[in-house]
Parts: sequence; C-alpha cells; structure tokens
Amino acid sequence: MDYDLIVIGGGHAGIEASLASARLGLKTLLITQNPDKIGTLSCNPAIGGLSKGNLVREVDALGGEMAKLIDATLIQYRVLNRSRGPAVQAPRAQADKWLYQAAARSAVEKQKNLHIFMDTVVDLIVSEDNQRLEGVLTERGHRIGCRAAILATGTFMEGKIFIGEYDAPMGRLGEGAAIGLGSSLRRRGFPLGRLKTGTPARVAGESIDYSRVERQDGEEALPFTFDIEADRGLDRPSVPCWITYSTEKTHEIIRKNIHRSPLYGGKIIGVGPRYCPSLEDKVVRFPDRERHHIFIEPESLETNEMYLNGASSSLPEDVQADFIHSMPGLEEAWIVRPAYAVEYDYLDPQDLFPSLESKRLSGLFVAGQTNGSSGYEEAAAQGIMAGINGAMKILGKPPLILERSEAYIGVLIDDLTTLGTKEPYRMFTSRAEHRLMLRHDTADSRLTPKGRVLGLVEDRRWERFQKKVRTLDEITELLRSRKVNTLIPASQGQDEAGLRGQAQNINLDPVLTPHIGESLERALTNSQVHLEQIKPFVPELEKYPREWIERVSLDIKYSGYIEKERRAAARTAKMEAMKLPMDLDYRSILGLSAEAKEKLSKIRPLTIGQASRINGVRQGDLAVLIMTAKRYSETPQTT
Amino acid sequence: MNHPSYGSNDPIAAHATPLAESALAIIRSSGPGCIDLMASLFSRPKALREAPGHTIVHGWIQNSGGEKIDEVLLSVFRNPRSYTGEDAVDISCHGGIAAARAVLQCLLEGGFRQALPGEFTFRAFMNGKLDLTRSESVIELVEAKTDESRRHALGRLSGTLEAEIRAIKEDLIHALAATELFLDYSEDDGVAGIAEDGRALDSESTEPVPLAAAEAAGIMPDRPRVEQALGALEILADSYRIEKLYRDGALVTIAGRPNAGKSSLFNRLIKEERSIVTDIPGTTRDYIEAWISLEGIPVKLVDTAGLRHAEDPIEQIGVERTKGVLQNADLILYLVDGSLGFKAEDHTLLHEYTKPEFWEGRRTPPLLAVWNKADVAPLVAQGETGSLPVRAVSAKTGSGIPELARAMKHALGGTDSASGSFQGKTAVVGIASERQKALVDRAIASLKEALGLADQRAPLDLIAPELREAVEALGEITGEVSTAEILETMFSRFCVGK
Repeated sequence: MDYDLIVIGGGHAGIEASLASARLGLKTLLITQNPDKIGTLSCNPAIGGLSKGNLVREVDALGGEMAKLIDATLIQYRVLNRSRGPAVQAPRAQADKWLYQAAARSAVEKQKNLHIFMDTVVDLIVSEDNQRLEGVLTERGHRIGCRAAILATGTFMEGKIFIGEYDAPMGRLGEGAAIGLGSSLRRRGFPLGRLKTGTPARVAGESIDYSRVERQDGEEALPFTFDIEADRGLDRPSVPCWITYSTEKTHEIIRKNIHRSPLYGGKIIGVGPRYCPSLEDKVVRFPDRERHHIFIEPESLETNEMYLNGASSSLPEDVQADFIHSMPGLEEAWIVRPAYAVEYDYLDPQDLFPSLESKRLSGLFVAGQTNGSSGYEEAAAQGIMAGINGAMKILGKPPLILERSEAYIGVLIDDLTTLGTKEPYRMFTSRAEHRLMLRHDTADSRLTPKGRVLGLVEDRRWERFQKKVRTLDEITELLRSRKVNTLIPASQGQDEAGLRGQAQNINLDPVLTPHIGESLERALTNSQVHLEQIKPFVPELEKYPREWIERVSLDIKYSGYIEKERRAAARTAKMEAMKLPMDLDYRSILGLSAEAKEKLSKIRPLTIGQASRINGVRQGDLAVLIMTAKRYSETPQTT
Repeated sequence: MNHPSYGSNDPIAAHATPLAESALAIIRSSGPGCIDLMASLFSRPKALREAPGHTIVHGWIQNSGGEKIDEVLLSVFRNPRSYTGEDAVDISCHGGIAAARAVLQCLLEGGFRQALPGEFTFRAFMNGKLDLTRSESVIELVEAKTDESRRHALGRLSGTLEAEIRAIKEDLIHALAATELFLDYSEDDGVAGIAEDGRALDSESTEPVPLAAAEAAGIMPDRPRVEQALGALEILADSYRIEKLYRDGALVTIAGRPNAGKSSLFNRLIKEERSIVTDIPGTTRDYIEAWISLEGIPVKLVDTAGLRHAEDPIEQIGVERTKGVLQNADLILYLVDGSLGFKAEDHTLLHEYTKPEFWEGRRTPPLLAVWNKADVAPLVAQGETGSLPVRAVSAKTGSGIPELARAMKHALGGTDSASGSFQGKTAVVGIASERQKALVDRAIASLKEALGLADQRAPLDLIAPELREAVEALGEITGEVSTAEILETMFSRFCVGK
C-alpha cells in the first residue's frame, strides 16, 4: 500500500480533501495534471457571497483552508444583503487570482504527510470482487495503491470546451482534459452524465474607458477565518470593480448570431446552470429586457486582465468582440481570453452515501464538480467532507455527516446525494429550511467542536474558541441584567457640579420609551431597536470585539424565530436518528408503493429522515419504513 | 419537502366511530401531552389533569375562547396502559354528524393533529403494544387505509376547489419566489438589474415602481399577490361555515313563556303531531327535537320546556336543560302569545338572552321574535320590543310561516339562491373537511403574520418562512411543493445571475 489516501485533482475540492486527510495523520498523495494550477480560480475572481460565504466559514470552522487563503489574498471585500436580514447576509471578497493560487499551492506544499504528484489518473484499480478500491492507474503507467481515493476532477474529466464553431478537449482554455478516466468509470458501470458551464471573456484593463463605467468600491475587510484574534484587521488593499451594461445593439448582435452558438446549434448536450445564464441565454429568454448589467472585476493586482462578470458566452470570437464593443466603456476593449463553454463528465451524486463515498465501490469518495455541483465554495465544502470521511473510513471511525439544520454543508450534501441534480448545483439560502440557524457568524459555534473531536482543530484555535464562547456568555449576561432607563450610567458624562444626585435625563431614543424598565435583552427583540441605541447603557461593551457584540445582538434579536426553527429541526432530528439498514431489499418489503420501491432501491437512504426527502416517498411508505427499521433493530440478524 | 409525520409523537385525534346518525360518537386522541392539551379544551381542566388512568371524567369540550361545543365523557388512559402505549383520551360525545365533527374540529384548532391513516395502530406497534409478528398486518392496515384515504381525499377535493387552491398556491409561489430572489441574490447581483426595468417584480404590474426604491421603502415583493391570496383563502375558510351549514345543519331552539304556543309552532314547522299540546301551563317538561329541511339547510328544531321560574322540582330540571339547549343554539325563535302581548317576563327573558354573559363566551346567536296567534290577535305596534323585529304568525292557521322560514334561513347565514345550492358570490366552491379547513386556517395565519412583519419593516428573511409555511399548508391539500419548484419559478420569472 503506497498511500493511505489519494486525491485526484488539485482544485478547491482537492485542496481541502488532501489537507484534511494529511492533517488527520494519513499518508496522502495529491495527483494533479499540473502542480502550477493548484487552486486556480477558473471562473470569477471572487470567493464567498450569499450562502457561499457561509460555506467558506463553515469549512474554516471545521479546520479547512479556503477562508485563510482568501483572507490573505483578497483585494476587495463587501458584506452582501445587509438590508435583507442577518440570516441571508454574507461576506464576499474579490480575490487576487494569482496570489490566491500561489497561497493555495504553498499551503498544500507545506503540509506534512502530503505529497504532490504530476500525472493524470486514467483508471481505478479495484479488488477482484469489484467491491473495493485498491489504487489508481495513471497515464504514465504508474500503479499507485491506496486504501481510499477522492475523485475531484472538476471540469477536466472528458472536458471539452466550445467557442462558436471551435471545440477542443480541454478542461480549462489551454489545458488538456483528463481523458480516459470517464470512459473507465462508464465501463465499470458508474452512472455518468454531462454538465455544462461557461465563463466570460477577460479584457485588457488599459483598454477600458473607465470614465464611461460606474465605479463600485468595497468596504473594510473582516476576516473570513475564525482562527484569528478578534477585531484584527486584514491589512489588504481594496480596489474597485466597475459596472457597465449591455445595450440594444449588444442584443441585436447576439440575436443575429444566435445560430452560431454551439448551445443553440445542438453541439452541447450537457445541461447548463439556469441561475447563471450566458448572455445569449438572457437575451433569448428575456427579450423585453433592455439591458443587462456587466460587472468588470480585476483578476489580480499582478496582471491587468479584467473579468466581464455577466457576459459568459459560447458564441464565436468575432461575435464576442462585436458585442463586447457595443457596451459603454468597452468600445475599444482588447480581448485577452475569449469566453467559452465547457462540458464535462459528472457522476450522479445519488450514487453516493451522505459520507460522499460511492455506494458502488468501497473506498471511492467523490467531491466537487464531479458530483454535479458548481462553485469554488461548494467544491471546498465537499472536499473537506470527503477528506474527513475518507480518513475516518481508513481509521475505522464513523463518518461525519452534518445535518441540514447544522450547516449549509449538510444541506448541500444531503440535496446532492438524496435528490441528485440535473444542472450544476449551486448553493442558495432558500435551499436551507433552517437558514436562521445557519448564519455565517455562527459557523464556529456550530462546527468547531466537531472539528476538534475529529482532530482538525489545533489547541491554540480551540483555546481561542473557548474564550470566545465564554465572552459571548458574558456579553449576553450584561444585556440581560442591564435595564433601559433614563439615567446615564455613572461612568459617563456626569456633570458633577450641577447635577449630583439628580436623575440626569439622557436623550432617550423614542423607540426605547416603551422599554423603560425592561432589560436590554428584551428591548433588542423589538425589530425597531438597534444595537447602537442600547450601547449607551452598557459602556462596558466597548472592551469587547465588535463582531462578538453583533453576534450576541443578532442571537437575541432573532431568538424567537430561531427557537421556532430549532423546534422544527428537533422534530426532523428524530427522523434522522432512525437508521435504515444499508442492505435493505426494498423490493421485498410489503406495503411500499411501486414508486417508493424504485426510488428507495436507487438511493438507499441511511435514515428515515433522508427517505422522507425523496420525491415519491409518501407518508404511508414512511410508516412502513419506520416499522421495518424497528423490526430490523429488534430482530437479531442472521448474518 | 415531505413532512415525516408517522414516527412523530404529536398529539393526534380522529373519529373512531363512523360519521352517521347515532346516539353516541367516539373521538380518539393520543400522544405525550395529550391529556394536558385536552384539558385546555375542557370545562374542567383540573379534574381531567388529575384523573388517574382508566377513569371517566364528565364535562364539556370547549374551544380556546371558552365556547361550549358538546357535553362529553372522557375516558382517560395513562401511558403505558393504553392502546397506543401513550397518554390517551377517548371522547364520548353526542352522536350525529354535526356534534362529532364539531368536537374534532375544536381539537384540531386547539393543537391536535388529524391522525394519519392507521396511526393509532402504528403507534401501538412502535410502542411495543403489538407483537412484532403482527407488524405485517399493521403494515397492511396502514397501507390499505392510506390508499383508502387517498381515494377518499381525492374524491373529497372537488375539481373546482382543487383548481381554486392551486391558483392561490400558484400566486403564493410567485410571491415566495420573488422574496427568495432577494435572499438568494444580493443587491448588486443582477437583481438590481431588474430595477432597471422600472418594474416591481410583477411583470403584470401596471404601475412601475423601481425595485431598489420599493425595497428601500420596505415593500414586500409581490405584496398584492399575497394580499389577494389571503383574501381568497378567507373566503374559502368562510365557505366552510356555509358548506357546513348545508351539510351538518343548524340547531334552532324555540323559546318563550309557558303556553305561548311553542309546541304548536314546532308542530306547524315539522308539519306533524309529535308534541303534546295542552292548555295547562308548563306541561312540556322536557325538550323535544325533530329535523326539518329549511330550503336545503338541515335544521334540528328543538321545542323547550316552559321557562317559568317554577317551584315544581321536575319543571326546574326542565328549565336547567332548556338553558343548556339554548346555549347550543344557532338561532333562537322567541315566541310571544299574541293574545296576551309582551309581558314583563318576556322583556326580562329577551334581555337575558341577548346578554353576552348568558352565552358564557360563546358568540351570541341571532334571535327572532315571533308573534303567535296573529289570526286572533293581530300584531300591535312594534315599539314594545325596541329594535328587535317581530314576525307575526299563526301556528294554528299557518299564516306567516313561509315568511318566518325565509327569515330563519337568512338568520342562519343561508343564501338566497335556489334551495340547497350556494353558488352565491361569497364562495364559489366550499371546503369540505376539517383537515382542509385546518390547513387553510394555517395558511391564513402565516400570511397574516407575513404581512404583519412586512408592515413592521421586518427583514425579508423573517417574512419568507411565513410565506413558505402558507405554501406548504396549501401543498398538503393539493400536493407538495419542493424547493426545486420555487427555484424554477424564480429562474423562469426573473433574469438572474451575473
């Protein structure tokens, strides 16, 4: 056995998977087609965003790397959705692509127990009975043994890119696809499909007329990682993004040339993401729209390439040039890299257990775009889970499976493995039924204890976390014991000469008047009362980190709603606790509907809760399953 | 999302006897906390809470407003000594469809969940009350019942009602998708691009509001759709009352001083001799009842004992019982002997019956004053009864009876159209079951909460779950709604994504 665990692919899933495995003490090998490309941001130069920022912080709370990488390399930071409620706010940062990539590579290189190897995996080596993974076979003929492997091939497995009439076997423009593995997996009976995604053109920064586009600045950056002293700034530069828009002329050019798109011409069979349509899709599907926003984002401080967010396309290059030049500020834009579509193999994630291990082949784990997801953050989230669970398997421990009420990671993996996906799956806050419980600022409370148990959270981080927990309690206690009144606390602004002993009225905000005599905690639950208004009553708050005070304030503000979600979650938790045997022969179970039998046989849920989320499994079927589960747990099994 | 209800231990309730005219009906309930929950809907909560297992408690089922529904006997079972192995209460209530339905409805509104098919047996099995070897027969039972109820439920859900609820749900999914859109896409994420259209999300909107401005003003996306859906649901909920009236009927009580001719009127109304009519005051010691069809509304007509404050102990009991019957009435006919006119006692009784205290928290039912013996004593000036309209009839000759019948129907909330049908403008289709009513009520409550939050400028992440709750409640009537469908609506309606 050459390695404990092999990770195939050095993208965002592969990085987290290999780091987690190595950090858990396993001898780990990361095989990549090109070590120079580890951690490449293939598409947009940003990390985070709504629900994705939550994923980044959850990965961090478990002991992952992504948050630290973006903190070290960001060049603009914003918190999105401030006006729409704390449960759906999330941080997003523009990344310096080249710095990010270098930081990622360096993190992997520095990791103990982890080797990087340049080659392409073309097949798996399996045991004689075809039940167990034993190693991988590479293009250059290496047979490398392992006890578990993680497949994280991104868009490279049988990847093919399209630009108008042009197509080529590549996973990224200019980088050859990984040919062979997809066919091998098909031959071995794995359920593979094709998905499609796309990326816009990059133009030369100095060819843009910035006087004709709108400027968008960032705000002061706060760290994504929890593993840092509270309130410590990031000391990173902040550069602007720019906004322009498509014009009637743009749309006309696109409409006139739509037949030259490989998508509309039928060359691409893979399904693309509806939530991230190409510009031609937007023009065709929403003909009434006069214009579409295009965001111009810097790729790096080291280069002058600018990313045209919102203008992804698979039209021919001459058409791309024409439509780009029809937008304000881009009249003279020089296209450095054209937009293109990429089609690639993915594995039906319903073929995986919630641990991300294959139901078909013991020891094979799958993560990232290979599972039909899209996005760096989704990939990283699956990567760390696959890395953890691959390691747990080798160590003979039970897998870590996060509940939907615990983390967006739990929602992501449960959705993929239970419902599957027909388009590249992107995380949305609306996919989480308990999103008030999944705020990004609570990720450490939710997951760091789990990371600690696994062994991914080192002592220093753990101490810091425990100190934070204690401090949050202190702040809560302060807000609970202090009351709203009309007096300024002793330490503040007393006029000793004139007003000694007298009640000194402060300028009480009218919104606080109904709360006089009540605790600050109580007052905060009023949606009209803001943290800033009650701060004068607790001057002691000044000594606490701002982020922590805000965290406590939100916990209080939403406590009623959070409690409601918690109760709902507790009800489903009961269902999650009811285990179903993996080898259950659903077809022989009396009383299940035909549809349920078929779906259950395919998905083989591990719990009643998972079964309940499968489309076509009805209440009556669940009753039967619950009884079957009980019978199994109480009848001694003969095997 | 499929709500896994089997396997939960919510307090459940269901009819245990068939819904038919009978002397008694039994409603069964079970679940941890079931006794406490029942106590909150019972006239003697303390007695029930303290009752040991295998005992019987007498009292009234009443709703959370204290309105009495029916006089019942509760058989109390304490875990594990019950059929299901949980705390359980069997309710013996008055037979007849209306009473049994009303009691169950009260339990469902009070926090019980309608039991799923075979759920009591299912729980018995799960709690080890049934042998493992019997599990297959339990499975068969559950499955058979599920199938039966599925067919039943489908039969129940009329095409028009289903279409109506689907249409409302569709509206709400649109509103939910618009709300979720704001939560899934950020200010600068393409949604802002929609603001460019100058349209407030709803493409049919005739008055364009720039989105960004709308949002800044705390306007809930698609609010008109939500309000429209709420209105439609409220009409539907109301239709349940009307449909229930036509299906389950109403209780009409004839009251008045002794010898006013109550039994004569009763007989005239049922057009048959069933009550003893004598000239001795106070001979009708008990009340008697009969069903009549009042232009399609089944009406249980009750003739009460004389309401004199008599010394006779037998009559005294009758008077008490009369009070009980009056308190359940949907309509009271107060009869006056025209040959004697309004007496002081009439005024006292009329005053008493219109006082809220008399009804002990229950909604005061309508009251019609009826002037009997109009054939020999024509109705005198109405001044005597103040604002109360008085209708003149003659129980003996039958004059004025058709007009009275129409007035009764009106007072009960029946519609004017052809008898039995109610294609009036209030509701085109009616809700047909307690379960549907409970779900529509749940949706209404959630929408009100959502609109209330929007009024307070609460953030959208608090409003969205309420909208979703409403969609899910309606989904339980017409078929589930998945997150995928909501996203589908979002993507098809809005151009999103960079």
